[in-house]
Amino acid sequence: MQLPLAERAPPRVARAPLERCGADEPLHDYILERYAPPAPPEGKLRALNLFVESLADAGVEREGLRVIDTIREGLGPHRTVFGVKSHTQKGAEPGWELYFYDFERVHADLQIGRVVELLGGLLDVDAVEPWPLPWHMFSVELSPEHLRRERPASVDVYLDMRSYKVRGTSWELENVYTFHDPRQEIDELLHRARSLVHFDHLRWNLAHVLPPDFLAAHRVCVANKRRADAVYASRVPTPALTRFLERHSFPSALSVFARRHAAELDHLLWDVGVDFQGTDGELRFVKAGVYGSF
Amino acid sequence: MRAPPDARASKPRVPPAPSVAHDSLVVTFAFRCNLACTFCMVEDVLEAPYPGVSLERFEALCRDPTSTLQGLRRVTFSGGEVTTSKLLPDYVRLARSLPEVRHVRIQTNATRLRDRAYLRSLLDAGVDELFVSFHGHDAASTEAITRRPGSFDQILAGMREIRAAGATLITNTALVRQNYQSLAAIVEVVAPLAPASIEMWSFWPRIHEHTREFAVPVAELRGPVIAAMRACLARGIPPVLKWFPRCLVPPDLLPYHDDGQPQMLIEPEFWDREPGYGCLYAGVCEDHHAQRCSGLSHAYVELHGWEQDLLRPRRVEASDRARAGGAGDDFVLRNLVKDGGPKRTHTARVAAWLDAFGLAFGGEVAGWTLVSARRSRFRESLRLELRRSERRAVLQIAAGDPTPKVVVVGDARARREAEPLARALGDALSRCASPPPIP
Repeated sequence: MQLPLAERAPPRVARAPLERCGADEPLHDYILERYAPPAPPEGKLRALNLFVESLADAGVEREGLRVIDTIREGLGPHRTVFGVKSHTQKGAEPGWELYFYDFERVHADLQIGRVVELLGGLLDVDAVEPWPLPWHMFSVELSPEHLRRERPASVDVYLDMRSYKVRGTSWELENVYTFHDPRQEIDELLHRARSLVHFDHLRWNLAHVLPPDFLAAHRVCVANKRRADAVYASRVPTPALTRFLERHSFPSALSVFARRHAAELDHLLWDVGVDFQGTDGELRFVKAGVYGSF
Repeated sequence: MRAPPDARASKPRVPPAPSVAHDSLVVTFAFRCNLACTFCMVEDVLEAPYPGVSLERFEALCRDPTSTLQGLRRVTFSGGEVTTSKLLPDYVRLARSLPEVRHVRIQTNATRLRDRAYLRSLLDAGVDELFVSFHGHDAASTEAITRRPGSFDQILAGMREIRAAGATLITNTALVRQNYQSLAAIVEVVAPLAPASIEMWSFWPRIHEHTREFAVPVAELRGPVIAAMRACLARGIPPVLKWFPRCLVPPDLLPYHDDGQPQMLIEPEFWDREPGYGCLYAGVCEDHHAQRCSGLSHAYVELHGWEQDLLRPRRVEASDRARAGGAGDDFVLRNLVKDGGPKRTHTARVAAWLDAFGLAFGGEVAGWTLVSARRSRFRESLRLELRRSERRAVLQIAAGDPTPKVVVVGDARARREAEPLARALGDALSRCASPPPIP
């Protein structure tokens, strides 16, 4: 008897049981803004499962799950955004990032020091806020090295369309970014695209950094970083996520997971982004990220 | 939803062909073909043939008073090549049994229709419109596409039989790299057969890996398409242009641009590979909001880009966009661009400069299409690249007083060929009373 095609796909890498949504599952994009699910979520997979799959693929599932559990126990569920990063640099390790939002600064429990303290038993975070800054979000980077406590993690602080990397007590401008509605603000978006130093808009195909899936997104974010420019798209459906995973050399385990479970992920919208450099007359993608929340 | 009338369209001298998008249904079966066109728009479907709508299923639908067939004015049969099916007359008779159907159309390559008796049997069954694929102006170009020797003569013979029988002939030419330079010549071949309309469809890329071979940049395609449409009108035949950016169509030809397509009865998986279409300016374009323009296929965009410097969206006012539901959420935009004020890129400045002389990227000058314009480093000149068929001309406009001077760049042959173009361009520039400096 021939087995159904899905059963012939490689099994998932992670050992942890799949987490599933409840009927009233709140779903958030990568700025922790709630969105209406495009399909009923009940019984279907949480975005977190992709995060866990990436941890398992990198051999740090156990360490990563401890971080996830600690955050959920300490801050509660549905308050954290995760990013799964893929670096194209040869030999580069996979990476992750956890993002903590408080736009109105009304959550007393959400402070950089508090999160550093929460994670203290699991990884070393070397970042000190010199005085209360008007951030609306901060993030903690993760890598296998960080999870194995081989080196301390840094923190990125986001305020007023900028971000700074904090290592110890030093601060460094990391990123300037703008958000655009790709339908209503196409002129501004084009202006930003034409002003990128890492993209030759007169010679290169704009669709390489603004593909159709990005133009169909809820918002497009353009960022200027120290060594690259970047474009992000928010709230893309799972088929677009899958195309993105395949296009940007993420571990095949992730695209296989997304394809295999496509029907159980159709209620989710994802956020994706790519960093690129224009070097030696060529466009090179140097980093890509996919985002969800837990 | 039916697109509202386009106020910008000029009153047409030749009445446009009636749109078949809203009162018709395409019924598919016979997914096989006696030709092997290189760019077949259903190639993937033929490779792993769909069963299509069986005669039994179609009969059941015809008899079901609640089916989508009720109220139709036209049924179109398509495959594959439906004339390869012996059951075609039975399908046609069933379609004619629907009380409100006025027309039964087949999409065909017409090769079998050169058999007068066979054609007669179809007409007697109820076919009255024959939509014939015709992609080349001569045997060599056609058969390079169809990959069947003799097919050009067979198609022409089939179309002549249709004409002789008094049935309605409509031709359809796919706009691909292999034929775009001879579109006007195709019109000249078809026109004596008095088709009711001559349709031109931009390449429909269902199999993306083949796109590079067929998809022509719209800047190159625009001139030949417009010339072919004008050739149709000169013969009193309405052209129909599909899936070509509407903003690149001159106002007098807008009545002949129609992206509408009827619904189709086909296997659901057909739509899995339906090419996506879109436009960078969709959110601000009146034609997109009115569903008059599909934009560019995603496969085209991946190959040639969004054409952001070429397209000229007919802009909707912001208040209208809000009414259309585009700006309905309460997302707070904090936007550094707006703080920085407007900045115009080099391309926008050059486009504005050209506009002062009535010139535009993708526009025509003396039969040549303006493809690009680059200024020299110190703004002492502007180099324009124009194309006509396979010919390329580079003209240099020197900053002059009072009128810029136009010179042809290239060897003696290039200068000889492009000299009339240079004169035409010089005339266009000299008509401007006070030419702005080169940007």
